[in-house]
Amino acid sequence: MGRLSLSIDLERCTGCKSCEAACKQVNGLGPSEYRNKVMWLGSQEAPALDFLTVTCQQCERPACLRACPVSPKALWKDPVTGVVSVDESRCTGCGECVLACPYGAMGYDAVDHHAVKCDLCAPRRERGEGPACASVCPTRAITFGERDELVARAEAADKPVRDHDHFLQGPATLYLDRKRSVEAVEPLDRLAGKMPPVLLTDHRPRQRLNAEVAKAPYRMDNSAAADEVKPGGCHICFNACTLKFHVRDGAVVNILGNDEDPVFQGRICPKSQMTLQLYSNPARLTRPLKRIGEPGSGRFEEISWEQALDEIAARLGQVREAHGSEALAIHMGTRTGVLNIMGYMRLFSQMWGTPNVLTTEPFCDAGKVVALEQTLGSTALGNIYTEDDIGSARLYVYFGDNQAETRPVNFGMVNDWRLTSGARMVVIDPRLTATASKADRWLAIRPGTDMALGLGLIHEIFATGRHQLAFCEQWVMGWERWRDFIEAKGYSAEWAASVTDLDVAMIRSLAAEIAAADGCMIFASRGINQHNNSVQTNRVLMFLAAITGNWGRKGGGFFNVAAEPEWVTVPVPEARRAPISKPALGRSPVAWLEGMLRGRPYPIRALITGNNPVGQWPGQAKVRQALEGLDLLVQVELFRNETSALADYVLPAASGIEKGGISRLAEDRRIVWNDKIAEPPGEARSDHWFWIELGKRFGFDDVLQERYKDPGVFWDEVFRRATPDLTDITLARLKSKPYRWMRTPVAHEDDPETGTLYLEGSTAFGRAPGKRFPTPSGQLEFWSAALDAKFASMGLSALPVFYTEAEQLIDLPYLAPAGNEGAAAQLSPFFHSPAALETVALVSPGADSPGARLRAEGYDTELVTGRPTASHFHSWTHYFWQSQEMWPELYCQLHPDKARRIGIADGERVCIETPRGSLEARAWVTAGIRPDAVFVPIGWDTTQPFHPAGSVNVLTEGQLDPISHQSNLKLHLCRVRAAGS
Amino acid sequence: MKNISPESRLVDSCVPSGRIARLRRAPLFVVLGMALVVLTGVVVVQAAMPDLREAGSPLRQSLAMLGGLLLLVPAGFSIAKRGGLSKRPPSWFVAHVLASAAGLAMVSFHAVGGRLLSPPGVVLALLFFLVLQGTLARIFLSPKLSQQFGSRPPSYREVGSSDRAALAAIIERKRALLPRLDAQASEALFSPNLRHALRHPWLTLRYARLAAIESRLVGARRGAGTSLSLWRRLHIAVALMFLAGLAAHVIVVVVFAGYAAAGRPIYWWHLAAWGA
Repeated sequence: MGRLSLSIDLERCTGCKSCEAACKQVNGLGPSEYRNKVMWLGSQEAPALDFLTVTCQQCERPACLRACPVSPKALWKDPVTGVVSVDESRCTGCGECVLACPYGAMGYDAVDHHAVKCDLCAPRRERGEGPACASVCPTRAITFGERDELVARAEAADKPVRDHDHFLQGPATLYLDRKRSVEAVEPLDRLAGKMPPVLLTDHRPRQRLNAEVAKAPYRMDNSAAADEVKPGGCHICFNACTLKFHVRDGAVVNILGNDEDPVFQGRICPKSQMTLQLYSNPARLTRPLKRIGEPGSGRFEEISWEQALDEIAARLGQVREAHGSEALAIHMGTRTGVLNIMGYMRLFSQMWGTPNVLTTEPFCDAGKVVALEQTLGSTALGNIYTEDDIGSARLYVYFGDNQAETRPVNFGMVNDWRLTSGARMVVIDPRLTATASKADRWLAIRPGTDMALGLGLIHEIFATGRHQLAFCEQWVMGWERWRDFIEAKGYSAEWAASVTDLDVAMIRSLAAEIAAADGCMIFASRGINQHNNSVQTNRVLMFLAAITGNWGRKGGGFFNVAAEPEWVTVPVPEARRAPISKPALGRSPVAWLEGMLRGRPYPIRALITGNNPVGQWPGQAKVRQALEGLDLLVQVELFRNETSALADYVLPAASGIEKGGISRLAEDRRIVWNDKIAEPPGEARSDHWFWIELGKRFGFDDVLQERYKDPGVFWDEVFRRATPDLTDITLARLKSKPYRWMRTPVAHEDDPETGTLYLEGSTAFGRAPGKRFPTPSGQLEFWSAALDAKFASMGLSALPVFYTEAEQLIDLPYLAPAGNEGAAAQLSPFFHSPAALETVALVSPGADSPGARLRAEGYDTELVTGRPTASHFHSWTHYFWQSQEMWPELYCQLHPDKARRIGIADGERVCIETPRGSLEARAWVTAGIRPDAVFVPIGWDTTQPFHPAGSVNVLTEGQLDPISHQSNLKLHLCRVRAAGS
Repeated sequence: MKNISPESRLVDSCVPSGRIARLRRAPLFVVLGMALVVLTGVVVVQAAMPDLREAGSPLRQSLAMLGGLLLLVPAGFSIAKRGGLSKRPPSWFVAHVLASAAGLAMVSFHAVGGRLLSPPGVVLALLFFLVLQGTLARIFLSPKLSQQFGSRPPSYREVGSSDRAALAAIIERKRALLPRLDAQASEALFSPNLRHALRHPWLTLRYARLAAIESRLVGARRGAGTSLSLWRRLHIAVALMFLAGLAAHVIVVVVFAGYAAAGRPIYWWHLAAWGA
């Protein structure tokens, strides 16, 4: 064996900190104890974002070792492998080694007072495994092996190895440099002049994270192999990473990637690892609580489940008696699992008789769902994350999709493939996100104008004759109408440039690239969805993919998180289904607020939620007021949050491997099965259990049967049978896979799994032969008389008329209510069940438009919201000490020009104001954002244990896309000032 | 190659034993509390009982002798740690902390009978300083040591053309000197210990000087800030001064008892009364 080392590819690293999480859990490290750490490095001079993984350099001449005053030394270097290790039994904690290391790569345990350092996971190496950091790295930025071999590999890949041996210590760790971009004018050394934001280097906020609050994996001795390793999946995000749960003495002690998974090969992000801190979290709800004070008082008493369910049932009965069954609204998100939101909850709601049942879709991707259903005829996206499909694209274009931070593993694979193949990447985003930082080109678009960019690109492609004529003629219904309409409206590249604030030459060049690429993957996500032009922007981007032939092929397609089966509601026998006499108030909780506050068009008086509406729904002040006035608010949750104080009953929920089942859907049609591996804390119960037990109080137990508390039974006997895409995915087949997932749809139990969908010559699942796409016509449908009639019913056109949010910094067309309130209520043609529809009218901006009025009042900044960094997901991770250590505080990214104008330095506090409210956050001054925009992330809540802060929804309004009822969460006008000024 | 533990032992010791961990943590607050109590006691006794000025009474002198012996434990810690005399230096570290605290208490009880504004009073003040500084450093500077991790991103930048010449020259000089100091050692891993200092004091000093120059050129220590980089050196320097003062005091009162008495009766145990 030769000298061992890590190789860290700066071009692949996305700063997700999965390596940090793995290191801490495998080595039982606590707060402030590091063997590795990922630094985010930026600049206030020019847009720049780079990531540096600091870890021991395993130096040839280790300064740490020479500095050790102990004899024999407490540090020693293996003569064969070159690994420098600390012998904690000899270390007196003097810290001389820490002071001597010029790379800042020597850790220190300030509780037990000894040096801490990377030894390349000696215990794991003893077992024939590599270092944990390399095993989980979602991007394969970290690799491990013999140094000579790693150098040879880098040379073969033409990757420059950074010379950072300033101190003649012979560092073994390799840093593979980023290749110089052909386009960008960059300094020779990409790390030169870049520093971390104060958010990362200020240790004061992290001081509350100490040994007292740090639980698992702190001080867990994982040096020995686990007793048992059980496969399963992460239940946090759409990446649905496959995991291995390491069990010792009956307890889960490690959560690492599943190296048997042919796709992910053990890659995972930090979140799934940190769910260790979910299962053993002292802040978890463990007993049912009943509020005994005024709403908002936060005074509760512990009661039994029996009492809670009896009382809830009684009060629900009173609501139904007084206002009808439709007065109950149910809102449960993906936190509660797919089996719950598409299964148990649907059974209950059908038997109870309310149409007001929603998931978090209206906040996430309702616009995309409607757009796909109208265009593709299905929500099952065709492409999959394999090397011969998505990996074979020649161009990746991300529209409002920060995949590197939201689905780090999938992005890691994409980036890996494209660096290997030489494919190009373009990111369109108001911010220089981690995704954008990896791209060949970043286009800092004006928020809310992606539709205009799409139209400009389409115009340019048609104008230059670069469209795929044969594909259009055979497979794109209505393409000529779209082409003529876009031409007639003058949606040219020049027009798009004026709307989007992008350079016209860039738009033209991008159009040419997309059209010329032999496979272009167009990714869109929340940056597209969370606008009130959500459906139309999605349709425009779908059209862009279609006219360039990027549908139904490998290496080309339209993608928007997440792919879903074509759901069919789990059936309830007709006789047992309660009559529903009123349409749903809308397909968004925002639409429910009128019913809650004013009883219009009919009252909603009770809400059962598995979320945190006060923190998550837009327009917090209004939401709070609405919830305070309810007759009954029941919250089923993992932790107490801002909503809990208003709830009448707060019920403790089980999650993930505490209950088993399908937790999340992956974005490429994979479904992942989890067994129940851990017991929930205290009296916490699964959401499944809750609905079945509540159902018993109403006599629903003939349908919501007791034995369905076992999710395996429910899956096999009820759930999979309801939706044809899932029918033949039996539990036995799922469990036969060492990685526990299968891709939908599967026609028969013995059929091979499905790969890429809609390929030429294929027939869409469940459709008549010859129907390549699952629309009635078998084509991608962009315009038809039927489609146009649907749009016309609400005052719109199936043709792509451009509009955006009313709150814009420049005058742009927007939608306003048509003002026909007195007219007979209509039902939306875009939803599967009856829901009220509001007609709208396109408005040309004028001096009295909402945007103009706000600008006149000094609201001169675009407020963009979104997911924070990869270690966070909504509010879950705010209860994990490790996430909090990585990124503790609510922040506001703003441009140095704006910071100078308001007299703010990096790390100081700013106040962000909209007409709805104000919020304080810590400034992160970066040139990687549009000068007129600020970014505030979602997920914080004033009741969180470590670093509480107000939710960004204090500032938002959430105006609805009239077609899909998707809320605008991405663009509001705001003003920013120094806090306290 | 020297000083190499077998890897299997390293694996065993990856997590410190609970006993060592407890030992490492527990004495800090005990010592800080004890030092404060003793300091308060000294001040109170001095103020309230001015007549109790018999530092050399049998009880006080006995305690002083015992305390003095305890205060040699830190020196023993230093020797054991640097001289390769201990299998578990952390245990010696704990002993040095506890012995210092106990020694401080005993010596203070002895000193309370004397004048604090005197040469022995200065020695006592040095002892107080050592105990307090050591305790405060352990409590307040340890977190700062943790925070050094990841604090030097500029070190990962590309090397400039002229960064390394001076360092290379120093390393070359170390390599040239080392065979005379320790023929078996590798410069990459070597730093002189107590044995080297005893066998080759001059060479050791020369080598240490070169190492210090290299350290200055690297600049890592300086980059950690004044308090972190200097506290331990100050601690050692003051400890040496204290030991010298302690030795001088013992010699004076035991051998030069006449000088120490300055015309007063010599009522304490002594060997000679020179200096009267």
